[in-house]
Amino acid sequence: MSEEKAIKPTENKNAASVKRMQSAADASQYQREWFKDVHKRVSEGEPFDFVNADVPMEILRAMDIPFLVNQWWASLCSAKQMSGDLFGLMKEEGYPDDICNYCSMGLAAALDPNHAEAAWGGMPKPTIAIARYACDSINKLFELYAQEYGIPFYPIENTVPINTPDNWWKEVHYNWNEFFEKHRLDFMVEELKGLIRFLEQTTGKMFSETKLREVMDLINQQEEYYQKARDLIAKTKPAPVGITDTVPSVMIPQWQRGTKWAVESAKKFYEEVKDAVDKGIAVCPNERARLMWIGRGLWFNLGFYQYFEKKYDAAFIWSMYLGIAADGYLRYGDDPLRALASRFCGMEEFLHMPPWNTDWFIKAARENDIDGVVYLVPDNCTNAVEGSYFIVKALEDAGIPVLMLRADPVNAKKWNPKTMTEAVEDFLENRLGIEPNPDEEE
Amino acid sequence: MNHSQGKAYEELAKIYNEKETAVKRWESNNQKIIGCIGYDVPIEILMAAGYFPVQITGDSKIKTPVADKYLEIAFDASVRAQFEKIVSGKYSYLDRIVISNSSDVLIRLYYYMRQMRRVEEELLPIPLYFFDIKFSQFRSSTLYNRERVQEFIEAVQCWTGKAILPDAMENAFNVCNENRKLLKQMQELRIADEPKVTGTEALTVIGASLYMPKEEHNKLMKKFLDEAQSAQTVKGTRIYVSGTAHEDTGFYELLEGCGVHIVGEDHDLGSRLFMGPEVSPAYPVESVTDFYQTRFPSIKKSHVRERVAAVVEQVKNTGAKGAIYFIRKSDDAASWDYPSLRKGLEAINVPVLLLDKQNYNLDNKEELQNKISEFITSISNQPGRE
Ligand code: SF4
Repeated sequence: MSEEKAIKPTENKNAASVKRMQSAADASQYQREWFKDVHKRVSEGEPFDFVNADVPMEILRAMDIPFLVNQWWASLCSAKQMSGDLFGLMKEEGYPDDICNYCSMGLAAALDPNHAEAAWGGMPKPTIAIARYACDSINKLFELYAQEYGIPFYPIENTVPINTPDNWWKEVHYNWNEFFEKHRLDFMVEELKGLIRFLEQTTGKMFSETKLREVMDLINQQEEYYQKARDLIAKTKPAPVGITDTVPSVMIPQWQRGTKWAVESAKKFYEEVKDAVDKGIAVCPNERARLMWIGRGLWFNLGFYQYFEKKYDAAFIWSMYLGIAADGYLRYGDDPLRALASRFCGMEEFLHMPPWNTDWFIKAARENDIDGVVYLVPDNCTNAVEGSYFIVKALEDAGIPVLMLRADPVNAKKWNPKTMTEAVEDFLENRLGIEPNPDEEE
Repeated sequence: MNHSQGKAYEELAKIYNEKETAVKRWESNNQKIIGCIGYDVPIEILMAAGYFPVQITGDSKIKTPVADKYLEIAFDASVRAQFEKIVSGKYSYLDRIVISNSSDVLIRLYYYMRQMRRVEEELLPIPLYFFDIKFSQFRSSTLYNRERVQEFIEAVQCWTGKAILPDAMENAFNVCNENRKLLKQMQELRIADEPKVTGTEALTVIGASLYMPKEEHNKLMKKFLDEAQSAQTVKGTRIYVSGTAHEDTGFYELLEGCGVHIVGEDHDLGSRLFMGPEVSPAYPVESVTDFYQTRFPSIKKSHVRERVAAVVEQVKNTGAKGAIYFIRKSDDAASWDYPSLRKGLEAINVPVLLLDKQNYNLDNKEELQNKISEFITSISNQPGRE
């Protein structure tokens, strides 16, 4: 069975990753410009929403309401190594500083008295906060966040699936109306209608069905490029790009989904991948192991992954970020609001619930000819747990070795690069039988 | 604290201490038994269909090797213990398990148990049912809940192969209403100027109702209330307990040992279990929905503001001089409420002692005792009832 290593917090020196793809660099640049523009629009009195990642932000896009995603903000603050200070503020206010670090960064930032010095000029003052009842803490965090700013908090309900149909990735793009339980879709549609009316009322902007259809179409175009890129990476040996390339190239456009820019960005990303394939460019030209990363990405230390490319010719080529973009988002059909509801009815299960996630991981591992899986199990988030026993069992039974690691991917304080690196090295050498490159040995 | 009650209490205490073993006493009733996980399963409906619903609770004294293997570290220790008891056969007499959407970890537990039944069914042969109730205080959620309640009624009828007759529904609803009414009367004795019921006794009496038929509990409750009238007056500093649910009396006894009279609590195994509107057999689906959706705010599922308002109101009603906020490790959601709750209570001059990240087995009793005693001394000069 899998090996498990406990990661103990110690001093943290994190290497930054090397950016290799132009689409990733462009996305970072775009995001900066976009954020400047958000600041400008807010200063001119436009509404601005702070939303959790699982909120159907397509509604906001269709209404042209600028918004910021809690988890993007968390990743930015982590990348800027600000999480330690922010969690200190939480503690001062009597909040816990060691749980829900990924999701509480927004609240922490709201408590920050030196806001202007925060990442990228800080978060502009929002006018509405929106979250879903996806776990017991997130609605409380958003409520408190909204209270700090004196703004309304709009919660959206969440439902639990009872049926467990097979092969969701083959069904949800076209057959979503039959695939998801009717009562769940109906309720989600009602919730979205409520949100729309609330936004219309509070912002003075009218919702347009036509615009939503356009947004949904743009998203389909964007995700189709991710599908093509995902397929290319899966079948190309050695892999043309790794997750340090794909995650930054995909994540920002995913936050910007529903825009023409996001489609262009996804296209550029696909073309870059294709170009790399055509030119024979590879993450590890002498690729000796193709690895899969399960769990949240290490925002503050993407360089971690690149270390193994160099030392072992071991490329991390699959993560859920491109994977879910390719498989989870596409929705074709005539009823954009219901299609949107179906996108959000399933996302939790696909990522976090066996058998849906286990089946999907095995499918991805097989498609990508994966040699081993490194699985980061979240220690303090009941919502992000994925059924670690079942994941490991399913993958190991399918002949794919798994290394389980426990750490918090956002809180740099709880990250010990040395122990973590040693655990992966041990896995590569002793489970996968990969010796380090002679010139890279210490 | 030495405080005694009469024979009815002794009987209730015995059932409370035996928990799932006590359930077997009623095996001769030939009723099928349903195990409930989470405190929001509409037991009225199960009772109306002829089932005997019992609560599945954890046990801080057991080891959890199977839970360690299948569940996550992030899961609350009580949930892990509940799982361990189920897979180790402690509840082998159950016909079925119904899990309510009472917390995120219970949703995960359902997913995990469902998957276990798919891949290793021999470890968990008991069928599962998930009751997806919503707690948000919105009409849309009420409508969703009504459908789930209706669906639950249909599922239960399907399990028994019989329709629930109106008489049976009426009877079950009346029994549950009476049970909640009797427990409310007990609560009155607890908060009276001359209290007759201690916190430990209240916890025991409330808890016993989860492991015995409600009709039997009602009979014992009536005797208990009678006998309690002549019990000695409870002495001690009046304290309200908020936070994580207590599955045994360990923490309450510890507090009482420090000179505390626990006048109320907001957790599922205390006053929250019986606070709420009556259920009406005339409108079974609607009133069951209303009860479970609108009763005292759930620690896990409520908004901070809702919970703070409800607790502040309760604390005022009970005349507590202070409050203790107890949070067990992994009971994360409760932690977010604390700063607001503290402010709310301090605004009515009720100081709060925070005891957070507590271990399930309370293995730091001495440390807790010191903190509690210090707190009690610090508030002894506060105005308020003793
Ligand atoms: S439990 Fe997990 S998903 Fe929920 S707020 Fe905490 S970190 Fe976020």
